[in-house]
Amino acid sequence: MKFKIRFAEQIVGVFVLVAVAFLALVLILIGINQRWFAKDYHFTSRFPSGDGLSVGMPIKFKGFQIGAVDRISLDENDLVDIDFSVYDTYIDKIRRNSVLELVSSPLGIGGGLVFHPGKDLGPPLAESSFIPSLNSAEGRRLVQAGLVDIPPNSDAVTRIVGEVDPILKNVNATLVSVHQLVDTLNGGLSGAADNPTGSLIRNASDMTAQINKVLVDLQSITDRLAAAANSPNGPVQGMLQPQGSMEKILNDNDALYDHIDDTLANLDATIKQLSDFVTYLNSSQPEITGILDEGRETLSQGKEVLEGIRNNPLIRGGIQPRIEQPGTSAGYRDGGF
Amino acid sequence: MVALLGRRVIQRIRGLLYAAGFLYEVLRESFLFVRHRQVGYRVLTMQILFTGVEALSVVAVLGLALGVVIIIQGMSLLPQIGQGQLIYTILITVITRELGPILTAFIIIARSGTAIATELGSMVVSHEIEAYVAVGINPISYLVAPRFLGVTASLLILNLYFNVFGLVGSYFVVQLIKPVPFAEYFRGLLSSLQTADILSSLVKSLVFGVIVSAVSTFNGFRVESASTEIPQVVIKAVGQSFMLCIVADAVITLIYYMR
Repeated sequence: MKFKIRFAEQIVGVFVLVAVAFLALVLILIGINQRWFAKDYHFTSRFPSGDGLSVGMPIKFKGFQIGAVDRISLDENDLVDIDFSVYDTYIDKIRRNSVLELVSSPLGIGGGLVFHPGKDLGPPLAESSFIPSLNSAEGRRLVQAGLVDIPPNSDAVTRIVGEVDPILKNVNATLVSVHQLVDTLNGGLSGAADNPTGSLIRNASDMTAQINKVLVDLQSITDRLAAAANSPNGPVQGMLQPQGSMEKILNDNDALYDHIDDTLANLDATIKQLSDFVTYLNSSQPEITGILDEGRETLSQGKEVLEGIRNNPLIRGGIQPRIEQPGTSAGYRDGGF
Repeated sequence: MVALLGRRVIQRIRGLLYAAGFLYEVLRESFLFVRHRQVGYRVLTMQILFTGVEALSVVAVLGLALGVVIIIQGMSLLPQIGQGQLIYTILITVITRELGPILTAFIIIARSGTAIATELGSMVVSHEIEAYVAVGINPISYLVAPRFLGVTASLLILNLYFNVFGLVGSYFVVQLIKPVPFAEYFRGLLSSLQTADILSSLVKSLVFGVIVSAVSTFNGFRVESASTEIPQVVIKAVGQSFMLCIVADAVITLIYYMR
């Protein structure tokens, strides 16, 4: 029998049980999340109009939801009565002289019911107590008497302005930063700043001053050269005068020219000899190269012979030094004089 | 012409009355079945096994895929218009309230509705039903009631599993693609999920289960003598089940929003 058929009842049992367990778990979690098992404390309040009020509307304290509106009704005096509940975790905030404020924003955002606790630090109010609204006579009296812990900027417009304020501060800070940046740039370009741009500008200025100084010196040198050239006692004028060097050089009956010509002829002969010597060297070069090659080959062969002798096992121990045997009889010629 | 029209109307009314009588008999026998715990208990178990357990994989895949698609699309598009929190409401509306029950019903119609109609039709053709009656066994009590209860219970349970895979399982699949904080997701889901949503989903499953099982068994018994009638009644069973489920879905949704 197949496993599935054999254990059909067990499989079906698990199948059903898991589904039921999931359903139960979800219901419990929903209950916890939606406060089915938590105790809520009920209070009442009164407003001149029901505009902006709705059942289920959250009641907030410092941004936290502390309860919700349960019921809204119009009473015989044409005022709107509301019943609302407060979560047990926030019941200690519901103190004497507390008020409720219906915040309606002219821009359509940020509205809701806001709870302002009283400054009385006594025990929490009893359940079903009446908490006046801020725009009722009782509520206004409590606020004017300073009995309510109410933040100064609780109206919607002030809150919006409060939200805009940090943005304006940020814009202001940005503008100040831009201003500082422009100042720094100006300082840098004028060379007054201590930053790299400033020092660069300063160095450029110093360099320009030095170049100007060099140009001035150059100008004075040029002026002096011009003065020397134009001076009647100067070297140039001296050279150009009838008794000057130029005159002597040009009117010496070709002595200087002949001397230079002789020198050049000697130089030509020397160069010719040098050329012959170089030609001889060039013609002898193959012979010299052959001699050098033969010498190199001879050395190589000698090296091979020496290597063969060194590697020869018969004479590996080397050649025994020869001991000279003195003769037993000496000739007449060996005798000393 | 008028006589033809009149005859057809009378036939239709008779057919409806017959179906109503059949449904009444099935409900009565099912009630008695639960009370007496008859021998058909084994048939009920097998019916839940074939209809519920064996369809679990299809339902799981469908639920997972649907949940993943909704979460990914919602998480991508809704924050762009500042409505990121709407994803939970959409998940509850689509999976729990609308598509969960109806898609599960469609799967059951395709798998078990056809099987039941075919099986009962074959039994009629092979004179098994006559044999049951001859030995004093009420075929509705023995054959229809366990199937009716089994299909209805299976659809109810499969719908719960569809929700498990669509809402919880899809979260873990989405983690692989686009991580979402666990606490934030389940807190948002539980804040949006109301008991009315769960009740609506369960009521739909229950009604769809009754429709699918009653229509399938009813059409199965409509076979008279030839085996060629079997596919015809199966097609009718599927068509009627689809149509009645959609109509019932619309009615229940209407009631939900009119409360």
